[in-house]
Amino acid sequence: MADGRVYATLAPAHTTPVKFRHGMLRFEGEPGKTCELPEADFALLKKRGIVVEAAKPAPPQPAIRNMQPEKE
Amino acid sequence: MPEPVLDFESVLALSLTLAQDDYVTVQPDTELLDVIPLSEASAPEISATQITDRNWTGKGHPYATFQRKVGQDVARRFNMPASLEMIGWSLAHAMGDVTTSGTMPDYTHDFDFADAAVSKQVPVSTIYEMLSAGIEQRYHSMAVRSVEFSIANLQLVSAVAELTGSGEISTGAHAGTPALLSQELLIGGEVDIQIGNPGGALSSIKERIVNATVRVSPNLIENRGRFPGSGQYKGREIFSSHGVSLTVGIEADQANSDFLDYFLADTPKALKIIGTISAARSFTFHWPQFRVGQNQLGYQDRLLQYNVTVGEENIFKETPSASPDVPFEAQVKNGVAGYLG
Repeated sequence: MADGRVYATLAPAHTTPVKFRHGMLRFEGEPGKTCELPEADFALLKKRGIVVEAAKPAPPQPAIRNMQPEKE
Repeated sequence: MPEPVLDFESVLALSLTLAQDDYVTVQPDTELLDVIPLSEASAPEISATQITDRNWTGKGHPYATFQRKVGQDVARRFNMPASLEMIGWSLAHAMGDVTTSGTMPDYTHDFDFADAAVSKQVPVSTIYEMLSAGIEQRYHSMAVRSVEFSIANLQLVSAVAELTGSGEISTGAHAGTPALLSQELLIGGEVDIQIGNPGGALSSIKERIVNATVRVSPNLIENRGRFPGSGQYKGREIFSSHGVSLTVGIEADQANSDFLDYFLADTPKALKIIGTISAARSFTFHWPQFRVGQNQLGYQDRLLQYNVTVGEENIFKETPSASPDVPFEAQVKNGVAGYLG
């Protein structure tokens, strides 16, 4: 990402939630969830084998509000 | 008539899982609920710095020239049983890098030295202590200056943690109800020591172990904790080089001269100290590669033993660019959901 942030998800080895603390830095991740991290934090977490880079998550689909059939 | 105060009347409470968010914001009493019993009667060391005429002028008398305290310091020693919970708390503060995985009730915490390239900020916590009904105080921004674990037969595994604070203290009654922390304790007889070649399988030598001591010291740059604007107190704590050392008493084996050989040949070895209560409750200290620094032979209880010492200079560390870059690592398995939250 151009603004110095990276999409990340937990590394496949982690099948349970992970908490990571480094000095004052805090990170919490859940398997299957994508989050956005500053590049420096991402680099450290990747080095520790905690996260891997992920694709930008798809935006949520708009809710279907009208279930009426279209008029002919 | 004034009533004196006995040592067992004191209560010391902290948060096992939470730490301060920064060096300014003190943890509220509602977080400081875990009472830690210390195994030695001790009190905080609180000291002040005054400017004397001699300090000020470079000559003159040794008495205070100004009616202003320029600095205040707080130090506290925790002499305690090394429960799995408090091994984790001590290492999280002393090493600064912890990864927790797992789900209730079984968690695994992996401890590493904080990466200086990322941050040198030291995690700090607020400690509450009631010495008597009239002396209740909170020590702000307490960092672990060092922690030493001791393992011996017929003893609980024990620890001495030396803490240093910003120097600031607040007083007043606790707003919550601290309760004794339930802790899982280990005895020396539950600790195994394994040794082998770096990267290879390790073998137990527990029948030969007499005692062991492990010391982790973050080497804080405490005199740079104060700066213009931080007032009388330290406004930060900084990690410098992380230190770790090991001493082990090992019985000599009449069939060989193994540890003497390791010392003379400067042979790289790997070592683990593993304390186990159950599969989900244990601690492991791991040196991936070290050499025997000192190896003094001596007698204890009429038996010949090696007294092996390993200091930082004997522990191999790859270049900073290597990954992982671990001269020492630790793992604790317990029921604590996380540290430094």
